[in-house]
Amino acid sequence: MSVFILVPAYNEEQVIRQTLQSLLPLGHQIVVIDDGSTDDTRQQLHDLPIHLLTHMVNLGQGAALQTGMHYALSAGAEIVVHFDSDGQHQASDIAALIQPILDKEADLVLGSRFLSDQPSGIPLSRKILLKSAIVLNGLLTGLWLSDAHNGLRAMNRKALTHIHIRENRMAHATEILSEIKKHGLRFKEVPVFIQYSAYAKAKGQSGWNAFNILSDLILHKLFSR
Amino acid sequence: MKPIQFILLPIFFLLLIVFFRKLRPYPILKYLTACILLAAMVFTAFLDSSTFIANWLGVGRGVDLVIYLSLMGLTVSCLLLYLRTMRLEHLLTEVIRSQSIQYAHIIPPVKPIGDEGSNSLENQ
Repeated sequence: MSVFILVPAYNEEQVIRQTLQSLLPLGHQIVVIDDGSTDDTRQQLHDLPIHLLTHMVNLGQGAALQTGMHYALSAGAEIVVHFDSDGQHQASDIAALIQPILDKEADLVLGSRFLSDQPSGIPLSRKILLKSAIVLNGLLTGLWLSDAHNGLRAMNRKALTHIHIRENRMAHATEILSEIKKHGLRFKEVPVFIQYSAYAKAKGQSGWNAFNILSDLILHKLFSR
Repeated sequence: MKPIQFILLPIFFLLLIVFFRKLRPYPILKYLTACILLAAMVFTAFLDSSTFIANWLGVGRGVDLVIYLSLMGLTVSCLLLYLRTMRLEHLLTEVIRSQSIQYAHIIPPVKPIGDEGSNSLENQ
């Protein structure tokens, strides 16, 4: 079974190497999408056995993931995993994430930090933001999940063929849920652990980003064809 | 004539000529812009005309009518610009995506025997 792990990266020189070194022992294909980084992210990858795609300019995480999905599809991927480059996600969660696909129980598996038994140390402000996003996602897509904007997810080839991310920036997480609903894809949530390191917190989404996501979603819903 | 009419009327007239020439390839936009500028010239030349129309429409003051119309025009312009920006962003994304996939690299580079060239996906 050919599994491709997609790792979008933008200015992650401090952690990208460590993140990829945790993924390499799994023996899957790793695709890094350098989304127009202006630091030394690329230099950190020069000797690692990975596929490297480079955006000339920064487009956003949604665009980077779609580029990776397009590439993986053409390279014959049977399962694709989305994995953040900032060190928040755990390589050890990937086996559980792809298991429902291998068991043919789901076309798409979404990681949920709120189903995990492990204490995540999630900051209160982030928790409130995420809980609000869960409600918003439910209202916008009709899918009521236990987590929102968790970048750790896996999909089979059927989902990979149907899902096309048009939201270049962070609103893609909600768009993926809309695509699940639209194409009647079977999905499942599995518990995953999110590491809230100081670096990840600093790089994470702010309240202002949440406002940008909301405006992107509303405007694109109103005006996209 | 009042000083403001001396200032605004020639400006509107010049804008009318410039837009009429520049928008020649876009007839709908050309005539729409011409109508807006002609209305502005009429309101400037006959200062009470906007009040007359405003009263007829039940708005009150002529200046209020002009503000409402300007806000409507501004909103439509913003939406048109937003849609154009969206289209451009979509195009840019597609161009960058195809370019990045075309020049995908596998590290360490896999070089076919006798070929010192690029290690793009086509070579794998």
